[in-house]
Amino acid sequence: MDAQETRIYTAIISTSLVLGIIIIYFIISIIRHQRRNIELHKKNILAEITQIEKERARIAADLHDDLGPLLSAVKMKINTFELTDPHDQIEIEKTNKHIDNILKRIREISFDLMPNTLLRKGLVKAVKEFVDYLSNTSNISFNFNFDDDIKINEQRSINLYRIVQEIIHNTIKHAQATQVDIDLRVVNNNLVLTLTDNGIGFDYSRESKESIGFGLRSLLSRTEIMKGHMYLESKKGKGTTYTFEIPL
Amino acid sequence: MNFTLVIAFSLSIYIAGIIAVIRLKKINKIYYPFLISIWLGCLSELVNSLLAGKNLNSYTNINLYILFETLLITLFFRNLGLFQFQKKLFYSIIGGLIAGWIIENIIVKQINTIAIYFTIYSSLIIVLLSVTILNKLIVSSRRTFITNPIFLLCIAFIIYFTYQVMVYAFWIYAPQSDAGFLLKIFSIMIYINLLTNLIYALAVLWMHKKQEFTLPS
Repeated sequence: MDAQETRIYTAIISTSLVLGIIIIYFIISIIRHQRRNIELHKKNILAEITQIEKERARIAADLHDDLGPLLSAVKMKINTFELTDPHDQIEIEKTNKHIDNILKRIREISFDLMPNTLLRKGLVKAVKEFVDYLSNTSNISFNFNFDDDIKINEQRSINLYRIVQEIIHNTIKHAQATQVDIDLRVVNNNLVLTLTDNGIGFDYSRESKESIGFGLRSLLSRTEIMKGHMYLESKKGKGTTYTFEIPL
Repeated sequence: MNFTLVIAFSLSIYIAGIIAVIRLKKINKIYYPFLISIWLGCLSELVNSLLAGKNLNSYTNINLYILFETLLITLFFRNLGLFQFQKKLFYSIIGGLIAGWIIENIIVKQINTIAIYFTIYSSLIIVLLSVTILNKLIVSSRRTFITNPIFLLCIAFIIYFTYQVMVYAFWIYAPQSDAGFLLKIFSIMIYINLLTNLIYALAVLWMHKKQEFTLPS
């Protein structure tokens, strides 16, 4: 190499080294910032969801324990009236029916907000109770399969129950499905929850052009705070499958 | 650096190529354009080695490979949703690449000579698209980046094609009469190529059938 070539070669080597340092710094800083961002995001989501669940539990308890007995007492009090006028008796009958309807609705809302079964008997029983109830009140038939030895803490049970609840509500509202299969299994130390419907499906890439719905965001947030992964497969006319992998 | 080591380094693309063949059924279809570009890379390196062994010109093979590699990587970026809102941009880039290749390799020069300007142009496009994908990933991905194949591929593209731009830019201004010196400049790419091929192999290992659900960005 002559003097000019040596100068060019030195310039190339120096530039390569500087470029290498810049790229390495770029990669490290991206990874570090993304990690911090994930942690912060998870903390915020966890705080938000915990707050929401506390509120729901409080409202459910208030409805079930305070308002329910109060209405029952009112009904009992009304029934103690000794009325002779047939018109008044008919009115009392009507009022009784109204109170019964209100009590039924309170139980439904309370169950929707925080089912007692979930806290007392765990996720599997709560989901079973939920789908049994929906089998009787909707046109969809549910098939729930699960492993018997699933042991998870209360917070995860609540999150998974909310996920099932959200997806089934969406399916009833939008999917026009007649069959929903729910599968809850332990695979390779992961809890795998799969929900499949035979509805009209949707093109996610097209639907997400504007923005995704609050429901899907909520599913993703709950999955993230459990350090899990969410997969969604859907095609127009071919149903939808949601899969959640939660590390145990 | 001896010839055997240069050939061994360039054939390191086979690691990713073989892993891709073994894992093909477990890999989501969105990665297929990239996998095809890897297999094309394997074929191209083999042809280059054979031609180099016989002291024959391999620029035709290299020029064709660079064009197909760039088109396949652009297609891969489209599969990742990069042109979701700008379909015209995708077709403009594809059209621009093909036009650029024809101008340098057929109209201005011949296909059996080095296509410096097209290589710089196509490399710059891939680097810019990779940076855009990285930006999208930072906003939408909640998964650790180290095991994310898209992140690894973007980093590999940025490293390889940035160095390619730099080396080819120096190549333009280096004295063209000294072949030994030109080869010395190009030797940087041998190490960068090895590093990139190893990152490709790692990325192929992390590719999955099911595409994880993320927020749109």
